[in-house]
Amino acid sequence: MKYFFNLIFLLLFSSFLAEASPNPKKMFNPPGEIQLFQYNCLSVPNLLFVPWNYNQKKNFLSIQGFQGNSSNAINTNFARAILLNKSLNAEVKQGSFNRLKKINLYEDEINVELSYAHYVEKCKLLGEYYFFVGYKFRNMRYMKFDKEAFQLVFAGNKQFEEDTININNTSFDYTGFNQYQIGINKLYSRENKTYTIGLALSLLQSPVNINIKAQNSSIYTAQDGEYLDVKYNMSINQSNQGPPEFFSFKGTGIGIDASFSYFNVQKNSFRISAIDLGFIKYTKDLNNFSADSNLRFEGIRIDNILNFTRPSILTNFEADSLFKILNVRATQKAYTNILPSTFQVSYSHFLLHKKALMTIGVQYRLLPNYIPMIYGKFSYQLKYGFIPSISASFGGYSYYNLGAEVAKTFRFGSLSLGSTNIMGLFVTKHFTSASIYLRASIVF
Amino acid sequence: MKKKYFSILIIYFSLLIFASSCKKNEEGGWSTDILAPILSADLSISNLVGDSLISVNSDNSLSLVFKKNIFSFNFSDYLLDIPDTGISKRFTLDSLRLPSQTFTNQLSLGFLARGLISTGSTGNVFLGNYIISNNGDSIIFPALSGLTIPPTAYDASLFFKEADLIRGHLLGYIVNRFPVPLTNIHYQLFNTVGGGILVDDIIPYIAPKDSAYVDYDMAGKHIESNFTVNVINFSTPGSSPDKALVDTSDYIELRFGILGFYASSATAIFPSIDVLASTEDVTQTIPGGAKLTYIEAEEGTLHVFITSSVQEGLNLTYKLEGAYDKMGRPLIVSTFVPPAPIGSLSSVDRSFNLKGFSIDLTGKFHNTFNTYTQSISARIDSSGVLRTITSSDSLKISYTLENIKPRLIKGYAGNDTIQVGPASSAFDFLSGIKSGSLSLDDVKLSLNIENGIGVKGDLVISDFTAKKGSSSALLNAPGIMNTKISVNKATEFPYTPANTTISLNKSNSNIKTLFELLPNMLQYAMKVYVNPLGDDGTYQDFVNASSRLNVNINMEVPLNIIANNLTLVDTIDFSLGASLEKIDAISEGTLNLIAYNGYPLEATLTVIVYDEYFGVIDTLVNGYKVQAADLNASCKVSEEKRSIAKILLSGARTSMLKQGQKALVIAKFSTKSNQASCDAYLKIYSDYKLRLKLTGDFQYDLKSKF
Repeated sequence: MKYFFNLIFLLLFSSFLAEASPNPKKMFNPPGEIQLFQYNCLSVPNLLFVPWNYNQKKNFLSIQGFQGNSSNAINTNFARAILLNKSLNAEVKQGSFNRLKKINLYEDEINVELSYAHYVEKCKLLGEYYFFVGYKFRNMRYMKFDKEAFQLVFAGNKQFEEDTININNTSFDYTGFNQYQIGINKLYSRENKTYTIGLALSLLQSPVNINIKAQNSSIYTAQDGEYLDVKYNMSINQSNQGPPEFFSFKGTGIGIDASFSYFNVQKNSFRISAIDLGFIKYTKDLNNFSADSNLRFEGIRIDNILNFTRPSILTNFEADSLFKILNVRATQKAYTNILPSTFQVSYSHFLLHKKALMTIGVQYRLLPNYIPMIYGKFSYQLKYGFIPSISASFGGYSYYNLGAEVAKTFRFGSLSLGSTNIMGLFVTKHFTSASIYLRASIVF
Repeated sequence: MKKKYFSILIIYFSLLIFASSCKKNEEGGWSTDILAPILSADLSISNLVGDSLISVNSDNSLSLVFKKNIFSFNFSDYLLDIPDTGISKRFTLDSLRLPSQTFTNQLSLGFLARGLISTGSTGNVFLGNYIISNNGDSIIFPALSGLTIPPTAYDASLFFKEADLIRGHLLGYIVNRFPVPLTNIHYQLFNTVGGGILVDDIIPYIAPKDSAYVDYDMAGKHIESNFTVNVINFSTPGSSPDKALVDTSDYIELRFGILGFYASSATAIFPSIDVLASTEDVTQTIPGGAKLTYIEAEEGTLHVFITSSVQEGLNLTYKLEGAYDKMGRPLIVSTFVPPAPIGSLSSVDRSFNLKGFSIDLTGKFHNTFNTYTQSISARIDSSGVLRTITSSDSLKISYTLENIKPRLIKGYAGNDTIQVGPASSAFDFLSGIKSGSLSLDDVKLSLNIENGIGVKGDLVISDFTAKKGSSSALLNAPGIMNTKISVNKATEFPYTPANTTISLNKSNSNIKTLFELLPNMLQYAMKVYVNPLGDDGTYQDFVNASSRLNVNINMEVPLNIIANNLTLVDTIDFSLGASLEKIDAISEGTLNLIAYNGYPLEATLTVIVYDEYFGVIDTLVNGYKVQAADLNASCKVSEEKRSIAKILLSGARTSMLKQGQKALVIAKFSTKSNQASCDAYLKIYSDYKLRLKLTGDFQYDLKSKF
């Protein structure tokens, strides 16, 4: 923590040492032409990605949010019902049941971010750079599950009477955390070319996490439910009981973002980045459950049915007794979660006399069975700083997506609203991913 | 249109931000079809027969072994009834002893000579001078007569003021140190003030250098503290013809001692003395003619009340002879009786717990019974204060033995006839069976009379009737009913109850008929004759408070039966679920009641659910038939038979059942045989069982955050 605050002080102090350059660098196009930095991201940009024209205004303040879910099986209708805690009716469930594959994937994320950046043209120590600080609230879930496991959870075991449900390679992770970030982007400008090297450090404070893994498990349901043969090999790590306390440190970690960019204001730009390199270690309010066993469950055993005091016929399953039955080992040990890091490489090129910008890229995330995603985005500047964009991507959890964005730039900032998979927002039954993002920024 | 979508997107995004930053309170959920086991249980014969024990016969068939105490008689209520007893007695003081005192008076020869001179008589003057002048010389001592010793007064007021003596002696010791004999010594001892002569005596002769000892009985004398000794006259014959050495320091000494003065009345500073000592027997009569030699008290109180007119403090000791506590300590009660005020009485009232004391009742000579022996003694400890005590002063001691509840008595318990009953005893063998018929192949019953009392007796059973509702069956057992059955007494060391067993079976009685009635009540009446032969003079009976005369039945019923709609009815607590929230999650479904029957018994089951006011809510199961297992050629069940009942639970029905508090379970059993070659009576074997499973097939609404 000490070094973290020292770094903040150094960056703030250096801003006062710096002097504004009388000769703006040629990184940015004049007004009326599209800017390289603005639309070369598939969704909301990271502050490492040069988010504003620092030659005009040195300070940048933005608020942005992103919500998205993506799956190879669960349609947006289903995901939305889950995320918004709506009731899942048979039609909604069936819509996803029809899409289930042998291995099914799902992930979603909510990201709300408030950030500030300040440009320093020249500093004795660091030269030209800008630094930034930010706060992000992030909520991430991802799941990997068998078709039968999904059917069991959402439809019950009745359909598997006299049949066996196999559950393999099923995992679920839910993490909510607050991210306190500070970073710097070192700029190297040579005529029309600019190179940037950025690095951001984050303190991660997590109030909640649950992580479930199951494999080589099965459930056999006998005729009329006379018994269940359960084989299970699973582990659960949980930090936090009950509603999350927003600012509690159930888990603490660090995160690192890094990027390298190249800008040629006349032609193109190139960027390589790694986001969310880090981990969170959970040390408080812990529960670890693990079980690797099998059993035949024939109901609660009654020794003398004629002397049976107040039987709870339908609900006699309390956690403690269930744990005993299932031979669950319960501990309270600290555990560590690795962040689902994101790696991106992108290339942007001007078209139509710098009225349009074409970006292509590839993205990979450290999520189970994640397919590297290739994407392309086309942006075009209309009158009055109005810039629409369209995008398409292939890969990830949802395989293919169509996106759209609309942005308006002003003298004092910009506003953009978009989606990387807009169809899922409106045709929820037929698309398995959806996202939306909004960004508002001011410069001064 | 674009505006509309744009607005929707703005609202959607705003809601997402809001939802992501605020705690979610609302819950989503979905419905699942759950098919799962809920309960499983085995129902066996042991579940059905209550307190009965199962016995496995050599062929693995079962018998019911049932033991029950139908009658337990505590003779202590009759034989251990010790009435309160007590005595109130007045004790006068045996004696009042006065302190011993000694009084001495000496008269020297020189004093005597000077006395002669002082008379002025010529002869006496001459003799007086002659004696004095020859002091140290041997002379022929002259004869003298009419000699006296002046009266000497004594004061004993420091010890007593006056006393009327009932006994005691005045001891006199007269020493003659003169060189000549003394003759006719006449002396008196009298009260100086009152003047009463206590002693008036003459000693005829005392040789020289010799003494005389006298003992005067002072009984009946009144003595005062001031009294006088007066030697009225004495003589000496002289020494003639011999010479005698004259020494004027020679003397005559009169020494009187008061010794062992006991007064009937005295005003004195009394010394420490015993004033009362008494040991006596108190015999009581115990109802029923019992002659007890020993009791151990479980409870009881010795109550002592003392009044005293004695004006001196008394230390009183009461001892119940032959009474000892568990530590072997005797029962001795010591108490201080304060001095009585003049003209009044002092009193002491004390009680002592006799719990745990054993008391010998054979008297002080150990040759009688029902007799307590007590010793009482009273003692005055000297207070140094002048007191007046008379022989009319007395102690009145009242003592009672109250509420004696013996733990044990010994002796002869008496001769009595006790009528027991008619009375009834609940009989819970197969009590769960409410109707139907049961035919038993046999019943073996032994009637065990267990006598835990050390008293012989005879028992006559006049009634033994099995009852169920208005139906009854009287035991018909010739040679047993209305016949004197001799019952031996228990032995004391070691303690062993005496057992008398009477066997009943279908050959010697109609006992099978009695129990095929499936009785819930046994009625009995009998007479118990205690010590029917009277007192044999050995006094060896003993009765302990916990001793009982028990009549037990030990019944063995081989489970070789024919059952026809035997109906078991039982009420059990019922609750659909511990958590109403969880029950609410069940929208509809089916409960499957699955039975695997291993008995050759067909069962029909009905379950009716009641609310807390016993209002019927629902008939959960109505006439569900559990099929009997089939018999093989050996007339045994080799395979269980499966039956299933489906109980539909609609949302409305589930909602109603939530109010259920009790469930009435009605099960009817009938033996079924699929083998014509098998006997009508079917044996139940140890490996038979009925397995019950309850499973749920219902729609369960999960309401979980995700």
